[in-house]
Amino acid sequence: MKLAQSWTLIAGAAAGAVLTWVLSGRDASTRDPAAAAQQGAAVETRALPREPAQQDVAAAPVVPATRDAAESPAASSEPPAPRRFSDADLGTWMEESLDSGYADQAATGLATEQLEQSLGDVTGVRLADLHCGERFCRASLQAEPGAQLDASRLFGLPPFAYASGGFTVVDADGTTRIYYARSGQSLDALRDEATRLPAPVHAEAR
Amino acid sequence: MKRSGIKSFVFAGLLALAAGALPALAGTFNSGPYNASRINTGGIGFTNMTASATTFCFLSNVGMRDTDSSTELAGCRVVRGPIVWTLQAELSQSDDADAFCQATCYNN
Repeated sequence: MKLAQSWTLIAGAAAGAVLTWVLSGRDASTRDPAAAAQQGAAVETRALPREPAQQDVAAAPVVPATRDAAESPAASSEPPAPRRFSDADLGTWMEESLDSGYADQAATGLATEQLEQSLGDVTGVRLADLHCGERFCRASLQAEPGAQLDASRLFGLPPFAYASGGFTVVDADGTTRIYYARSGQSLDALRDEATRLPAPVHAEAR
Repeated sequence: MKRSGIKSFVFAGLLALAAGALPALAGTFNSGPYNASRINTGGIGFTNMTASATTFCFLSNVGMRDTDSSTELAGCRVVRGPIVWTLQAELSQSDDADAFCQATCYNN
């Protein structure tokens, strides 16, 4: 009787293993890069809360301007390309918004505390100023003499790690300003708004 | 005996099925593509992606524009931070260059 039970156990396990193998064989098609990409795209449209503006930005590099094209006679007769809205422009827009708009003291205090704690592990960098509005914040950092500020190391730390995204602007005096969208806010939406509204000071004050 | 044999067969089969399903999430698509860009301004633009403990992310597309002098450097990087993966686009100086970066994340 024990022998019979052992055989049934082995047979059951074998049947299960074969079934698993068959099922995984069917799934193997998704490991094909093309099939995986299709699967990814399907999941992406269903589950990913992505901002539409990001796709616009992503689409831009597909057609790069080349020097040959710029020097060709046909290109020289074309009107000059419109000036692109730079990150410096966005920084100016955000700066004006912060100066004239609503200041979130609670968010400013929390972010300051988090950043000072994060900077505890980074030598030679000090927080000069931090200011949060309704939708975004700006932190000003300065390197001490002889030290170098590597902002790329800071983005993974609080409070930047809780933002959807941000960017840096380096002033002439070496101060690095980091602008970042607050949690739940979209930097691309802010960029779109700044591009559309040349007088941005009212946006943050709403 | 017959009934107990069937039960054992079914139990062992289910056990083997469950064992085969355990690593099913590993290597599966999580989210993306994420985008980070840097337009005409020296410095870094960043986009936070997924939790670094449970996912891995990689660069999936890079685009550069107007890096037409020897001093204009543009780059993309994916950094695994203590909390999240971060996608970064970088320009060395404020000029006419642009950098566009994309990354995709999968489950560990």
